[in-house]
Amino acid sequence: MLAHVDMDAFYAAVEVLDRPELAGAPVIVGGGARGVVSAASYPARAFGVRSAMPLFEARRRCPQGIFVPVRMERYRQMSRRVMEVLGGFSPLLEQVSVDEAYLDLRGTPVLKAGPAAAGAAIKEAVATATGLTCSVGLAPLRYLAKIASDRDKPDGLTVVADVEAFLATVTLKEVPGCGAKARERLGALGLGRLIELRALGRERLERLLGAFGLRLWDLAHGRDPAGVELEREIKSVSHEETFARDIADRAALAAHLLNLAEKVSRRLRRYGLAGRTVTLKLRHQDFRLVTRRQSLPQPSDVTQEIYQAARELLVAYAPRGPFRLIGLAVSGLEPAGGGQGGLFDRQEQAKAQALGRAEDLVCQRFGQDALRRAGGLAVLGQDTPTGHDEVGKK
Amino acid sequence: MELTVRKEDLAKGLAKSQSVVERRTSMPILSNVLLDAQGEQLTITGTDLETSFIGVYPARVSQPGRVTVPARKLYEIAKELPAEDVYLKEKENNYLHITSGRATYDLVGLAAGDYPELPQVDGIPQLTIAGEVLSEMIEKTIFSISQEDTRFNLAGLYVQKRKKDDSHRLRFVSTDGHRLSLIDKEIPGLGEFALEAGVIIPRKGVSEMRKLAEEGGELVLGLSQRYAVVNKDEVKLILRMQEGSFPDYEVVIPKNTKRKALLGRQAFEGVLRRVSLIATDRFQGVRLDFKDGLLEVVSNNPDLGEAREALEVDYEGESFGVGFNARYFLDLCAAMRSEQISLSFVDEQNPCVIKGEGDAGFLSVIMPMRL
Repeated sequence: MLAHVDMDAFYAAVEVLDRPELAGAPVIVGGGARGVVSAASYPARAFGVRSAMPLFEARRRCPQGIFVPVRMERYRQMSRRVMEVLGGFSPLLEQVSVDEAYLDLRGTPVLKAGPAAAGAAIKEAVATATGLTCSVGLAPLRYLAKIASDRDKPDGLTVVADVEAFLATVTLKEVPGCGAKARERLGALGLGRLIELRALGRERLERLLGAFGLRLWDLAHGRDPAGVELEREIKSVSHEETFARDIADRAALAAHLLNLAEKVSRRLRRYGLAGRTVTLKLRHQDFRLVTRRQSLPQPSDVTQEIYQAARELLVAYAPRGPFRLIGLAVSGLEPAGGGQGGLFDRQEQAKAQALGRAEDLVCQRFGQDALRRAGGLAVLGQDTPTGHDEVGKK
Repeated sequence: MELTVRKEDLAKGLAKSQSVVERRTSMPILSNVLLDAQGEQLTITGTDLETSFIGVYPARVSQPGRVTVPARKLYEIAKELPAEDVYLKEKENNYLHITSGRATYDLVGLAAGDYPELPQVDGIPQLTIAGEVLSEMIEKTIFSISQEDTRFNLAGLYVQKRKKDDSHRLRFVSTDGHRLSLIDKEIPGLGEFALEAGVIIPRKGVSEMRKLAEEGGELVLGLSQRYAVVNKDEVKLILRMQEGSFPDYEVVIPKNTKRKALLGRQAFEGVLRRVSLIATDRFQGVRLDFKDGLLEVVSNNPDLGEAREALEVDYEGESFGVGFNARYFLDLCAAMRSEQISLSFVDEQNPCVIKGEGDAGFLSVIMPMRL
């Protein structure tokens, strides 16, 4: 039996937790002057506010909404607490995002009293430890657990005891990965429920949707090879930033890039990874997205090296902009500290690594913004001014 | 242009120009060779702007002139021509007419006036060097030249004139950042040879030089800060030096090594070959475990399994293990001649120094890898 645990309106719920006077209010979490909604509390959703909606649209739909900025650090902190609690129920825990995880409960003590009792125990433990509610779905198959957790939101609990009976109720819209395009094609054939795909035949599904068609065929028959993966392989580590106002100035872009390099390299070090390929991402004013990449001589998790490579790409990119967004990704990952050592600059490398470690320790204790490179400070006022809150609370 | 040249000379000159001329290039004329008939000579020139080949062959010239034609095609034709002599004549619109026996060709060319000028290299200091010596020096250093063009200052062979005691030595150094090879040779006349600072000869130029050196005989090597010129018989190479400064390589050669193992080169090579079959493709990582009198080479691959083989070595001291890219040692074993080679270590973190009595003036440094 697998459990899918999904926190309810997570960011908004954390905001309400920290400011109890907001309870029951339409809380909308989003960032920047032109940002989008990152999360909306259930009262806000009643006004039609949804995640990823532009903030101005949210304001239009819900003028009385309480708009608060994103405090990612705080959400991560709460997320860690939630995952700790979940980890207590099963060692087979796969965190898929900041507010979502799968648990393989097979053979665990909590399941002895039955799946419904297990789900209730998980919900209660999360609520006791964090004051937050979550929705839990239990099913013998991964995708069904995910669908089930969404059935009774918020504060829901859904147990799939009879797979065949449950399958009969699943709409295509509920199936993870089944997007608007796929639904449109299937809808044109009069198909709206997962189980109806059985009538279509495997070959026709494949012709219609390719590899995804084959996956849907399996799902329609209650087959899902995916279980709970202990460690999903991380392919790349990236960060990006949408500007409050479009930027053309190269120095300002470089400063943003330095901040991104700092974040990316810290994440790499936290995962114990180093990457070979640095990718720069720029979105033009007309939403055109361009990426440029280059390889490092050796895999790196060092801020300065990643920044250098990204900056070279920025300098080499001729069009002037202005740009809406800048992003930085490092891929070609492998475990850090392994592999072929270099003959030259070994002292410099050792210093850079020691600097990274010291930086990580400071930031672990005092928050992401406690220590920054001066070159990135030029733009600090514009992005996340929330790290200081974090320090203040500690 | 109108001339007659021996087929053998034409084919030989074109053969030697092939590796210099780039097949794919943004300047189409660089895929061509320049044929220049003057006096009693036909000069064949090929260049990629960095490396230039010039071959001069006897010819009966009835009308001096210059044409350019596709290098590869002309070579393919020259090889197959039926007669001993080849008649070449420039025709209108840059066509080259070829006759040999009953075979005739009219080959499309490009205007010779558009062919790039080669650099002026007169007056460069020169050194005469035996082909055998030069080819040994290149063979022992070329494999560790960096293959990455992003590290352009490592993408060539560093050449230096060194003074030790009262004698001068010519030094070649190469490194790809992970390993380094260095060889010193005493060369007659080196004392008078004016090479003040070290220069970097690009990888491609080094491999062209090597081909000439391997033919034996004597070569005349001219070196300046901007160009290298190699003269041998009817052939001349002009190489543009690599820009950038070569790293301070001397600091990475460990001086105070404490642990030293002596082992048979060929036996070591065989063991490495067998054990590295199991190693992961990308890194070829193997562990060398040294114990009293024994070296065990071990390779672990999560996908394939494990391989190990022991080799008797001359080593006394504490046991230790250190990881390496097997490829680096294999390259080195192939380039060295000594029956016995020595591996010297400071510790597991510092690079290993490799020498051999049969390889005078040579040493190599390899950085370990963490497995």
